[in-house]
Amino acid sequence: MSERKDDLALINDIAKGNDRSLKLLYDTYASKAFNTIISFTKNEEDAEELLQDVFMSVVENACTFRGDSTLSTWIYRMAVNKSLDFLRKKNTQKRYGIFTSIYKKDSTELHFDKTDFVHPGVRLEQKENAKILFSVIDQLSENQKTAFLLTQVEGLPQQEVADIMKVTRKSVASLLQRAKANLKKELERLYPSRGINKKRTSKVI
Amino acid sequence: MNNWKDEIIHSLDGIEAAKAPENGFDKLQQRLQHRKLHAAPRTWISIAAAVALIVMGNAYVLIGDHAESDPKARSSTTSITTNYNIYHQ
Repeated sequence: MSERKDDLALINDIAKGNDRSLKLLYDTYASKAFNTIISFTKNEEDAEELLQDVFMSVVENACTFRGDSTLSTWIYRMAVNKSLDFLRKKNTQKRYGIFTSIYKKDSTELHFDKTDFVHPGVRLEQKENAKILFSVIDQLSENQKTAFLLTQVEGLPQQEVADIMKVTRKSVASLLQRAKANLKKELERLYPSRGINKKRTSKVI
Repeated sequence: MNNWKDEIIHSLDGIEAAKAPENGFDKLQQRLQHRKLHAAPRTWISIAAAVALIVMGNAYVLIGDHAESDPKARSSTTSITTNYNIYHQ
């Protein structure tokens, strides 16, 4: 309850134009929002741009914050929504690119090349596996992807993810289960021989 | 059988959070400043547009009234109604 009061006091100060309060809010939430955004965009520059957009929206909408949710939930929600909007726009451009030309003018370079993204916080020994995982995450639906990234990358509890997504905790659990099942299916489709090879190798050894 | 897939799915276990760029707050302040500077003239433009609209509306009504009260205009209207037998039995 006191957290909500603190949130309201802080956001009211920001609405009045207090720079010190804005700095405090930024220092508290910028990395959390950035960590979420970069998992969606898979690109550091885009994530930086979207992070700025999120905090611009915070300032613009500070006077509308009523404290129905915590500031943390509110900011995470904005970060997720901005990221999903960004991906929708990017996908539309991609589709348009297919109808025009997928190559840059006067070169053989692709307009929309697939990124080999590795989240900067992934442990060294997991980098190869994480690269594969991030390449198949895009096959998930928006809700499944959001639930998966917020719990696995951001490490948020299911209840907080439910608050951010405005669904029940049970729905988040179900979304996570389906996300994992779909990721496995996609991995099987992309690497059909991987399991077989491993099995054979282990027999030979 | 599922082992390699589970390994990939759990490759994010123990992941550390990515840090926001260090100069991010300065950039945010620059953007806010830029927005403030551009928002001010836009407000004045909308006020000027509203005033112009009111003046034009008033002018239109005044000119219309003047035309109706002009005797020349009234006589021409009467002659037209007479010529075409409008409103006359």
